[in-house]
Amino acid sequence: MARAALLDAAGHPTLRFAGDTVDFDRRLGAVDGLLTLRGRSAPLTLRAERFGCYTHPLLQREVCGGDFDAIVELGRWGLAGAAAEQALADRVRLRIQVEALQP
Amino acid sequence: MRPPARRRHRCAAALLVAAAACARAEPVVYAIDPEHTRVWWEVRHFGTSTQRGRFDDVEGRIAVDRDSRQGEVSIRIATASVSSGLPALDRMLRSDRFLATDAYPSAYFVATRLAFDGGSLAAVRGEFTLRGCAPRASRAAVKLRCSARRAAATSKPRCVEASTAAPSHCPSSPTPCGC
Repeated sequence: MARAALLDAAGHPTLRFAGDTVDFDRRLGAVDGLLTLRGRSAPLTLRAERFGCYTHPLLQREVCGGDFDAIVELGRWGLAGAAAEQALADRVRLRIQVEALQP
Repeated sequence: MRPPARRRHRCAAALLVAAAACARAEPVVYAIDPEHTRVWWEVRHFGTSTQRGRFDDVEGRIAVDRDSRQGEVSIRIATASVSSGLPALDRMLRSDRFLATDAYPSAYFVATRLAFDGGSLAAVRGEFTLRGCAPRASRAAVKLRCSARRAAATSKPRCVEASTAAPSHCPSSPTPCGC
């Protein structure tokens, strides 16, 4: 996936996701934002599978985190042809594990 | 000249036996492709995120007879190939507290019970041997695979005993029991 044909890691060393719309109806449901891949931005929704907070027993700080799931359709970032060349499907499932600490 | 009736009958029976033998297809054997095979694990952390990792080094064979819906699966996992993305966690997982990869370099999955749903494979029930031990639930498969010994009445899992005559589908003789 790191080949120039797909991620072009040398030319574009980072992916970026910026979410600004949070669906929080009693519990976190989803985060809508923009995913920037190879310099091209397109909307992406991260669906929250679970989200919660706890106090870290050693650090005594609040930690929040959970699991998020999204489907990236490579064609929307101009990568459908490159994926097909590698015998890869257009749909890529992202499974994100994330935890964040309060300072 | 026509053969006697009895002889014709015998020929027909022989043909039927031959046809039955043809219908019983031989299992097709596949070797695991190491470039496209990984074993992932997932474990919940503090009830929030799911921490994931994988075993990268997997080898083995799968034999399937689609007509008779039977087969065998025999997989070896190199325990030291565990990779979580966090080197400090990988070192802890390889240590004696968890996988003990020096003493137990391989984990095994061996199965001979394949369940089909329609024409597609739905489940493979077998025995997973980790640190030389297989849990209580897989006792039947343990017996099938090598040899099993009833552990003393403790909460410890039953262990796979090294067998002097391991069946040919065993990837290799299990390491001596250490649990």
